[in-house]
Parts: sequence; C-alpha cells; structure tokens
Amino acid sequence: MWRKILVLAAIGVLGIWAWAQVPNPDTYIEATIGDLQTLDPAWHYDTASATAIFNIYETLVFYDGEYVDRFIPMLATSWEISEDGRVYTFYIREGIRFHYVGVKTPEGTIVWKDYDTLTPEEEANIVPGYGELTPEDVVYSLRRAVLQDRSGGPIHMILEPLLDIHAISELAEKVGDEEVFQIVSEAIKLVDGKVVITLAFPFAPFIQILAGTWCAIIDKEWAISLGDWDGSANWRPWHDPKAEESKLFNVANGTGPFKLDRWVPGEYISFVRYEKYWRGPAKLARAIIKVVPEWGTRLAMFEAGDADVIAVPRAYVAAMEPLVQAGKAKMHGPFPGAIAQSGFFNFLVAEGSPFIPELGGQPKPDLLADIHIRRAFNYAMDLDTYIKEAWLGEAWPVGGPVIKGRLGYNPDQPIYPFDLEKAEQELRLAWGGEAWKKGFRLVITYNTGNVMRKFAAEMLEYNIESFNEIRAKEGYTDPIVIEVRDLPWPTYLAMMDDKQLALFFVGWLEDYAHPHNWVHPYMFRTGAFAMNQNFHVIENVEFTPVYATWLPAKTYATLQDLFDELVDLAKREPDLKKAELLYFELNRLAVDYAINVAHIQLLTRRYEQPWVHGWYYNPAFPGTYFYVLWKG
Amino acid sequence: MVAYIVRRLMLLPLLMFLVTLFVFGIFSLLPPKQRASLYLAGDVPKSPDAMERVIERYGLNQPFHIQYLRWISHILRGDFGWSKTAQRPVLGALAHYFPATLELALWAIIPVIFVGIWLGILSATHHNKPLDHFTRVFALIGWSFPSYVYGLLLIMVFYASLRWFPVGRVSDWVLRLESAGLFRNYTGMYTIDAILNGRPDVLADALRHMVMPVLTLAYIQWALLLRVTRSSMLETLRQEYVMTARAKGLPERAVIYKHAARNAMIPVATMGGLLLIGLLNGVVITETVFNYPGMGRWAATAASQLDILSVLGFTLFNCALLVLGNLFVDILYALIDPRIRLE
Repeated sequence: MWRKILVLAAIGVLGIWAWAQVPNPDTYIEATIGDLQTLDPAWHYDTASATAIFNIYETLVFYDGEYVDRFIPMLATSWEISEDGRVYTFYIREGIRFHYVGVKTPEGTIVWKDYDTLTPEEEANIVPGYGELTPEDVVYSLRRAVLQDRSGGPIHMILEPLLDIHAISELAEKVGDEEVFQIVSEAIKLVDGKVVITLAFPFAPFIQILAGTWCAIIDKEWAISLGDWDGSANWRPWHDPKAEESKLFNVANGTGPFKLDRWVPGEYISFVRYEKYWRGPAKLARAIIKVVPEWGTRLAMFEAGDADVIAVPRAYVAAMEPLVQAGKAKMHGPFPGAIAQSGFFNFLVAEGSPFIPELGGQPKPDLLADIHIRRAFNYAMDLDTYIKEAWLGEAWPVGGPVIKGRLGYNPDQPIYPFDLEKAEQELRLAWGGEAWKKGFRLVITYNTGNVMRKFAAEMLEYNIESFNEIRAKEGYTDPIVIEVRDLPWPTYLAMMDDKQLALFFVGWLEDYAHPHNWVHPYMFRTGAFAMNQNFHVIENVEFTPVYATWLPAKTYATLQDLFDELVDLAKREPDLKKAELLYFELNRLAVDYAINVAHIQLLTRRYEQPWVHGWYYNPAFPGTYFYVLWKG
Repeated sequence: MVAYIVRRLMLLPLLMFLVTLFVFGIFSLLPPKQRASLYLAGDVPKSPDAMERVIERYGLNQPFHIQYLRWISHILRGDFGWSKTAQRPVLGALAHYFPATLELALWAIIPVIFVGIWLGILSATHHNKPLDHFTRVFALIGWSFPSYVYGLLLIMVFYASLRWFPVGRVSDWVLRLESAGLFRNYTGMYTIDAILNGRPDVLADALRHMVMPVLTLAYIQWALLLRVTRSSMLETLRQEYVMTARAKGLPERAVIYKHAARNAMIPVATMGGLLLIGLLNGVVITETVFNYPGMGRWAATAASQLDILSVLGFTLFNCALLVLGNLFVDILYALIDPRIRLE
C-alpha cells in the first residue's frame, strides 16, 4: 500500500516538475510568416486568416480526424442528400451559444457580453436568439457570404454549384438585385427548422466546400447589431466590400473553442479559451500566432522555447534536423501536402507579349501547341534531380493534376521519364521537323526569388539547348534558344492573366480536398491556369476512353471541349467508383497531351517542441487546430 | 532666424506635393493588373474575371489624374486611405509604428552619440598610436559588417543560447496585461508607458528587448561618428587656442574636454542630428531581424507589395520628418556656434 502511494507521489512530483519545465504551459505560441487579411469568414481567402477563423468559428460539418473525405457533424447534428445529389438538408444542433450573447439591461437596451463571464442574473436576461445558434443563423451566414461575394474572394466556390455562376454581380446584371435575393433565398432556405440548400446541379465536393472556413456560421443578430446586412432584399450596400469595410473585419463571435482576444495586425493574434464551449473547454488556455517574417529569428525563438511551433521553409529543413536528433524538437511528416508545383504550357501566347516564341526566327505564338515540343520538354525534365536538389527530396512527381491522397489519384498513371533520346525524337517531329531544322526560341518564366522554379527552368534550358550540338553536326546552325527570365510577382501575375507567358512555373494550393479542385484549375476553361493556356487551339480531338469505358468514343471540336465535358461529368458523378475512373481519365489525358511539365506534389512537415501533444495531420486544415493540443 | 524657419516651413507643403506627385506617378506607370496583385494576397486569380473585378473595385483602371485627385481630396479631409499591408488606416499605421521606431531611435542614439564621440576623442588624442588604430578598426568592422549578420549573431548568442535578451518589443505577459486592460498605452513607447503606468517590471522587460537592436544600430553608426569626431578633434587640437591652453599649464583633460572638444562638436552635432533622422525613418533590417514592428519594416513590406497608399503616407511623413529634422539641425548648429546666423 505504502509502496503504491510512494510510487504515485513520485509520479506526481515528476509530473509537476516536468510541467514546470515547459515554458508557458497553458499557452500555445506559433511563429509564422504571414499576417491575416481579415476575420470576416466570407471575405477571407488566405491561410493565415483561415487559421484564426478555423479556431473561432465553426461550420456545419467538420473533417473526421485525418480524413479529407469523411465528415462528422459539427453545428449540424446530421444531414441528408437527395437522390439526385442536388438537395442538402441539415438538422441544426440546439443549445449552442456564441462567445458573446445579447443581454437585456434594466434600461431595456441589448448589450453583447462574454458568455463565459455572465452573472446568473445576466444569463437569465439573454435575449432569445441573440448569441444562441439557430437555423436562421445558418441561413443568414450562407446567404450573407453569397451576397457579399467580394472581388477575388472565395465565394465563387459556393456560387458555382449553387447557382452555376462565378460572381453574384454576373447574375444581378441579368435579373436585378431583387430577383437575385429571391434566387439566393430559394437556394438556401429554412424549411421546418431545417436548413435546405438546393444546388444548380449535383456537385460531389459540395460537402467539402461547406466544411471550409468561408462557410463558418455567424450570429445573425450580432452581425446586424454591428451594422452588417440585415437579411433583407437590400443586399447591395454590403456587396463586395473592401476588407476594412466589412463589419466583421477585426471582430469575431463564433461558437468555436477559442475566442478572439486581440489582433494587432502585422504583429500577432491571440486567442483565449471558450470556457463554456459545447464540446468541453480546450486544454490550452491561450494561443498566440506571431508574425515573424525572418527565419533566423523564428529559429532563435524556437531554440529559446518562446515558440512552440515555427514555420520552417523547405530550404531550412536541414537546420531543424540537429534539434530533432538532440530531442529538442519533434518532427511530424513528411506528409503529402495539398500543394503542387508545375510548369504550364501556353498553347497560344497573346499578341503583344514580349515572350512570343519564335520558330526559325519568325514569331510563332502557337509554338507550344505542337504536342511533340511539349513531350520533348517533359522527357528533358530530370524530375529526380529536380526534386532532390531543388526541393531537398521533399516532393514527388504526380501523373496528372490530381494529387496523392485524393479520390482519382492514379498511382499507376505513367509519367514521362527523364530520357534525352526520346526528347530528341520528339523534337525531330515537332512542327513537321521544322523546329529541329530551323531552331526555335522560347522564354521560360518564373517569379523573382523562387529558386526552385528557377532550377526547373534552367534544367529545361540546359537539356533542350544541349541538342544544338547534335543539330550542328547535322548542319542545322540556327540554334534552339531557351531563355529563363524572372519577373516580379505583380508583373508575373498580370502577364499570366493576359496570357502573355509561354511556359510559366507556378503552384496551386488546394481550396478544398476534392479532385475537382485540381482538374478545374488545371484543365477547365475557366480554371485558374487552364484559362491562360488556350487549349482550344487544338482542334478535332479524338477521344477513346481508357478508364471511363462507359463513355462513347467521340471527336471533340477542341481539346478544351473534351476537358470541359469530362471535368463536368466527374463533378456531377454521384457514384464514387465512376467518379474515380473519370478522374483517372482526366489525369491520363493531361499526361498524354502534356499540358504541364515538372508537375510535382510537395511534401510538408511540422516541427514542434517536444512538450506539444495532440497534433494530427489533416491536409484540409488551413493551420493548427488548437482544440486538440496540450502542453506537458 | 524666425524668417528663416518660416521660409523653410512654407516650403514643406510644396515639397510634399511634388514628392507625392512623383511617387503616385511612378506607381501609376504600372499596369492596373500589376497593382491588383496586392488585393489577391499573393495568389493567382481563381476565376476568369477575378482580376478585372479587383481592378474595377479599387478603381485601378482610372486615369492617373482622377486617381491622384481622389487621393488628394481624401488627404485634405484627413483620410490617408487604407494600408493593406498594415491592415489599418494609413494614419493609424503611422501612429502605431512611429512610436516603436521613435523609442528604438531614442534609445539607440544615446550610445551612438556618447560612445561614438568618446571613441572619436580617444582616437584623436591617441593619434597614430595603438589605441587609435584599435578603435578605428573596431568601429570599421561594425561599419563594414552587414547589420543582418551582426543582428543574427547577437540573436543566436544572447537569445537562443544564453536567453538574456529576447526579440520583439515586450514579453507575452505584457501583452496579456494589455489585453486585460491592466496596462495602458499612452505614448506607444513601452519604456515611457511603463513609467506612466508605474510598472517597473514592464520597463525592465521593454529595456531587455531593446538591448540587441540598440547594440546593432549603435555598432553600425559608431564608425561614422568616430571618424567625424576624430578628424574634427585632430583639426581643433592643432588650433592655436588649444596650444595656448596647454601653454597656460591647464591639465590635459581640461584642454581636451573643455576647450578642444566643445569646438570639435559642431560638425558632430550636425552628424548626430542626421543620424537621428535616419533612425527615425525606420531601420528595415534591424527591425526585421529583431522582429521589431516599426516604420522601416512596414514601409519595406508596403513598397514590395505595391501598397501605394502606405508608401505615399510613409513618404509624406518622411518628407515632413526630413524637413523638420534638417531645420532642427540648422537651428542647433546656430545655437552651438554663435558665428552662424540663419538668414
């Protein structure tokens, strides 16, 4: 008996001693690079803002542990999807309070008070609906997001499946503001206490979109009290606000496990635990995300114990290894990240561009429309060396847009091996042999400062230009010239948008964890990259399915039409097996038509102090979810 | 002197106008799409009309004169616009960042001036002796050493290893005090606010955070001040009145500090004033390395992201600071040397 007591006491003392060794034992501190843009869920579209919103607000559904395609109820207790895949019905959880609730004062006015610090008397005077989660709040939040639809914001993701449009202003121009409100109200409505969302067409990834922070649920009464949209048909004054014009720009009132404590832009944002959180209070009392742009400073903060987690760029992974070896840091991963890097071929460079390719000394805007040139570039790309040297091994090649870990990723999809002989053979075929005989000139671009993209571009430059020696022996003296040019990011972006870049390197960070979010930007006519690649110049495209064998063999007017049809079919396909085969088909086509070069998925790691526990990796999370963490 | 001051002050609005016209003009040379990148938060446009909508929303496609006049009319109403990089109004950003930089500059200028002058005098009085060579080499190392590397070295030794001096402005517990309303920011300068709040613990914490950036700034500037003081002192020490003082049998200390140093200080005062103005402009690298949120870090971020309103706000502020600072130096010069008249 005494022995047991002694052992338990010893464990207790050791535990207290260990706890005492942990700096700031109840506060989690993360030092990162970027600052948030806003705290308005409908406005934000960056990971820093999303991380804050993710911890303060909640959505109807939430990712189940490490899975990106399994969901658990959050503010909805359950949901149903109609057989045609268009109607989503959500049952809303009852008894949930937001961080701040409206309390009626003896004078009859309503003041917003911290729910954690209410006196029993104040609690008795909470105004019904004021700070209490209701189905009306859900409807209001989603309608508000859709009608706000700020320029360059995230709402196009909801608008596409909901109303089959890209911007709410697009619809308003056609039908007028009043009608827009009616249409939106019909699409997102309250029916017998349930929230019913009706899509324009079946859209498999919709549940992923609803789990995104842009669909966070806010309190209607609180938002209105701040001067936000009142829920009426007069939505225009609150449409497309600048960040600072949004009433929720720097304030927050969610149902999540942490309350906003203070946001000092450019410096830090701090959170405090919501003691009355409906799933029970978090183990951490506070969390702080600090903006520390300089890597050396972040590393020093980590070594000094002043940061529990720091953002570690790939180039500095080696600096963390000694700490991991010495037991002074924990490393999670590497995990397949939700991010890819690729080179994009523009099949028709816009007129007026300084980067119009040349063939035999003559301008040839559609130089890259020839598949043999694109394949030659793919064969000339030494992916293994590129990954090893430029990415320090922290990436892997992917065959087609869909990355590993998503439905539709095909591990058996062949990719172009590094083979200079095959590259030579393809070049000899390009433009009926003219490219080989007359030579050509192409400018590969990347954004200034991105040394990894520069590496890829220079590797292509070196390998493709190496054929000049063979060509010279054959008497072809006009050289193949590949230039590598860097452009400042604003210039790069503008020229990409104007379709002025011929072969450009850029990356894609997933918005939601679904293959549609990969094939759409890479292949669909309005996709972020595809819209700058001009696939339509390839005409009379014959298609014979390899995976989606139920589809008929068919000739399409353009390559873009083929891509569009398959992307569209895949996103509407309710049968997961069939959808997977459609994505296999799209991956195959992307590789066969060589629409990209050096397409790689990046890996990700997390370095944290040994005393941080509870973290798990879900690639769909925008950042750290504090609720599951503790220190000790 | 009053006429001189008034004349200089009257020049200020004209100078500011020309400077803003120049900066606005340069930014306007960039196509609207390039400027739109600021509003896309470093991302690519994700729908076909996303960029056009941003351009339209922020009026980036309007003619130069309309954009400029709109901005000027807002300025006249006291609205300097929104700083996208600081996520607050430009005036608010200036009010937020300037006290931090001012605090750093004021603390830094003390060792810069006193140690710099002392080293200069030491060097001059030991002309061509080992001490002279040593001080000059010591200061020159600081001058030629990249402040970035020097700052990081300090951080690695005194923060990461010894944990004596942290980075940032204050510790997290001070931020908690602020959040809880137990510490009020009167001036935005923690050392002064700590005194006003009667919190010596906060004062000590703020000073601890200040040690490394101050040391970095001081070490870089010492070489400059040392050289000016040294050459000025050498010239003064050769003057006849100094020889007379020595001939009178005055102690060497009195000769140097009472007679020579006073006159040698005239160019040093000018240099000191200019150094202070330089520090107030913000010291980008020092502020970045020590994670010190001041004017320099903000202005550099704004410029790199084409945040035109922030750059204009910073430029206007800088312009005023330079004119007023130079005016102050001129007045100081006249006060130190009665032979100089400001006319």
